[in-house]
Amino acid sequence: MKLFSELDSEARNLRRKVYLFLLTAALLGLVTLIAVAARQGVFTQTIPIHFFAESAQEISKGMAVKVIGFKIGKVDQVVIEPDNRIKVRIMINDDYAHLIPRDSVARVTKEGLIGASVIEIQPGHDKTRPVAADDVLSFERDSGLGEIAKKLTDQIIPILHDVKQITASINDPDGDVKVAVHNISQATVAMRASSQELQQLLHQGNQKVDAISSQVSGVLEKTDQNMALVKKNLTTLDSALPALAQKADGTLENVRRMSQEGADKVPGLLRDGRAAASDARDIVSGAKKTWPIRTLLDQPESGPAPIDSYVPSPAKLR
Amino acid sequence: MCHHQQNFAKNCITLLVILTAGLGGCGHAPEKPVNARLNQAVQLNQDGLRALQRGELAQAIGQFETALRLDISIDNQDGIFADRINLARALEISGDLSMAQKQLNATLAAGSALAPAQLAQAKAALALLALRQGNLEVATRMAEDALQACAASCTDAAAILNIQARLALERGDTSAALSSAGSALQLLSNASHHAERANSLRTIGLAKILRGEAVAALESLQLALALDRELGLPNRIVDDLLQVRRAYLAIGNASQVNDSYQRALDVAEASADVMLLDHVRAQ
Repeated sequence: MKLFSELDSEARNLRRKVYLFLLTAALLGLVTLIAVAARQGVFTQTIPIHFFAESAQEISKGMAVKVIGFKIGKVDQVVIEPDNRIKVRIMINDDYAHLIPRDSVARVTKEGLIGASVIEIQPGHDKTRPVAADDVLSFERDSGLGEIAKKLTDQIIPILHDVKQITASINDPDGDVKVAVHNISQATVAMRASSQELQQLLHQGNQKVDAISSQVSGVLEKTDQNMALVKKNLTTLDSALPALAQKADGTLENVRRMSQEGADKVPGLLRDGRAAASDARDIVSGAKKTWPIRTLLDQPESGPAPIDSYVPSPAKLR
Repeated sequence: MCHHQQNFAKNCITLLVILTAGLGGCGHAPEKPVNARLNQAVQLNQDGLRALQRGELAQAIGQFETALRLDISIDNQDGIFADRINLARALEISGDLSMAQKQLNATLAAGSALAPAQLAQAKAALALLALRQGNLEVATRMAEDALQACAASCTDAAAILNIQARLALERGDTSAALSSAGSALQLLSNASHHAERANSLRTIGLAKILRGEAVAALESLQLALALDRELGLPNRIVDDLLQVRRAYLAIGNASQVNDSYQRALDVAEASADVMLLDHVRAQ
């Protein structure tokens, strides 16, 4: 009996521990449930806001709703309207409603280039009128990756086409580039040859300059000698000049005297010459009128020339 | 030289001087006052005529103009008339027909002061000018006036008849042309005016070509050519050769046609007269 008693006490003790464990587990489960619910916003006060989109693409229930990168709510419902528009309801935390004016714009965008899609609300300018429950925001969609790729493709294809043409032109043996390169190559060869000729020319020029320099040196030496001789002669001339000047004075005096005498005589001589010429003309004139000389001379005719009826013959006869 | 020979030479010279002096005295005429301007004008007129004959038209015109100025300065009416007629002729040949007309009109301005022969000459010159300008009506009237003023004794009658013959030819009246040119040729039969004879013969030749008498035409034209060659007038020689070519063309003698043309071309080229050469090349 004692054994049963002892067993009973242990059983009771064990039972008590099991109850304690179960209670603790239940409490922990409840706390966890409450924590998860709190985490899921069950205890957060939210307000519904709507926007309409043309397509539900990249919009799905549970998507995060952010303002300036900060999550303030989530997509709660996505439904098709009778007019084929998509009505999206988002639930946003009431605490942040004052940050979203009614003229704000909802936009589907991606977090990074390939991140998850989110609804980003671009706050409007009218801060005095924050959104209220069931307000409708404007909506627009950012360019998706495909659209961006298409735009890039549209812009890159012409560039690629041009590059292809340029490449083909470069590779064409008769193309401008090949011809230009060929010409440049030839010009380079010619320049090299010209450079060699120029170097030869300069070398020859240097040789000639050296030769001329040596000749000029000789000439300068001779010039120095000549200058010395000139100086000597000038000295001699300087000493003889007074005597020469005296003789020149005498000569000039003689010339002046002769000119004076000539001036007295020349008019008379000229008069005599003119008279002699006049007499000769008269004699010739008289002789012309004298027989038989006058018969040998043509008689001057002062009248008009006789009429000459010549007119060039007509180019064409009638 | 011996002493006798020296004396003989002296005596001869003395005799020659005495004879010359005696003959000079016999021929001595009363002296006229010396008119230097008149002499110079006469000389210039003669020089101008010689230049005109050589074909140096610019020089001839300049000399006639100077002579005219000198004659006007001494009121020498005969000289003025001669200068204007000659100047008009030179201007006409050079192609300045308006200035030639002006000079001829100026000669007629003298009116009744002109002698009949001068009037005839001025009218004939005007007729030639009008003929060159293609004004047959005026040319005919002027030629008739000239012939009327000329009367029978006029020395220019043959030339005026030749002008009338050319006018008849221009009108296509070959009978009248032959008649007038024939009359002119008769008047010139005893004269030494070869240029005018050549003009008559050329006109007769042209008229005969028109009448289809090519052989007879060739005869007249060859005579005209011979005269013009004697006178040494390249432009008329070329004219004659081209008409000879026409006659040969009518006869059908191809070699003579080419020969005549080649001769005309050679003369024109040698004369250095560009207009004449162009005229030949245009044939």
